[in-house]
Amino acid sequence: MELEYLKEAWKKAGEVDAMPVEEKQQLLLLPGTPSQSLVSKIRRNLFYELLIVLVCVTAIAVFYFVSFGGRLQEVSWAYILLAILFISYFYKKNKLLKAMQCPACQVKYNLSLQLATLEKYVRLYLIAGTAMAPVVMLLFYLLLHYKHIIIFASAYAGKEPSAFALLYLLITVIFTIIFYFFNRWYAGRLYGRHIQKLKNLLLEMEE
Amino acid sequence: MATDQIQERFLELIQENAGIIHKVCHLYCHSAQDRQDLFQEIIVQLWKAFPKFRNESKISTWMYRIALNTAISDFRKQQRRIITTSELPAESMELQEHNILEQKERLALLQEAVTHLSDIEKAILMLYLEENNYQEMEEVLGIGQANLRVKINRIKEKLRRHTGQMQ
Repeated sequence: MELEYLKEAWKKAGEVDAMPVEEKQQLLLLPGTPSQSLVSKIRRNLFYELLIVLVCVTAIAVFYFVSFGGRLQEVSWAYILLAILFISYFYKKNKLLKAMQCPACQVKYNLSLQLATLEKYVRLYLIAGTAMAPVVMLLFYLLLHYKHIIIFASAYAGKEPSAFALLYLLITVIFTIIFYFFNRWYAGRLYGRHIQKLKNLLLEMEE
Repeated sequence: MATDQIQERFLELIQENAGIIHKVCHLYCHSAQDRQDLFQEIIVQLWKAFPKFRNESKISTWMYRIALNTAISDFRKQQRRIITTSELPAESMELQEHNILEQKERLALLQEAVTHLSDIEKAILMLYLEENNYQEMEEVLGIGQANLRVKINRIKEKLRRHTGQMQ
């Protein structure tokens, strides 16, 4: 097949198989439809995630504020603190997602931007996901310590407070390590293939 | 500018340059459904970027950038399957029996030819077939002109090689 023949075929490509959406009214409706790009989908999911977290935290906070004669309202405050941390996490993630694409820029620049931002996004995901374990464990420890709540009574049995604190710290470290590896695996599963694809595309453009 | 006027202007622009979008869709997607999805996504991205368009670059350059960026960095495309001429759907076979046989054959050949090219090579080939000069290609892709020359030669070689295999 000669390139000239290809050129001719190419000219025809824009003419055949005309899509019905070219009808004026249908075309006008298209910009209003939600984008199906992954970034748009992640942003939508992130928003739903935020809504679910806020609804759940509100319900739990209200429950602990009004139940047990208000004696466990510290639990509510702990959840509110977690919700605040989540909102700031949401804000950072959303900011990164907004900056992830520049469709009107040169293709190479857009790919580099997407790769750099996606890597930052994954790092944030990993840090926040891993940090969640010690933060939650710390909040629980404070509650156990100051409210004198005893759970897993056998863990306390015959132990000095310092020995218990050490055991708690050890469990926290183990949980943190587990969370780290789980998040790393999960982030790789979600975004690893696309990051590799972007790297390959950029490498191809540069070589 | 009022929203109606913006919409009107946008619509004119799309209608004048619909060929660019159709060609990108044909180049990167091989099923009608995928083409439809990509077409829609490109329109959405063009509409989002339209208020920021300041005539600093040619409208075609702006459209090529958005269309190619959408097609290349579209995550869903990873699952799209390339269909070769030998496995064209029955729909295409039926169409071949009608008057548009020649056009369809040409398109099938074009699709077959680009099957072996990477996404970046497809973009370069498209701009080459559209008779853009190296300066314009650099403006769209961000690849240096010397590098583009090398890549075009490689693409030609690849196409010749695969054409030889097809014959």
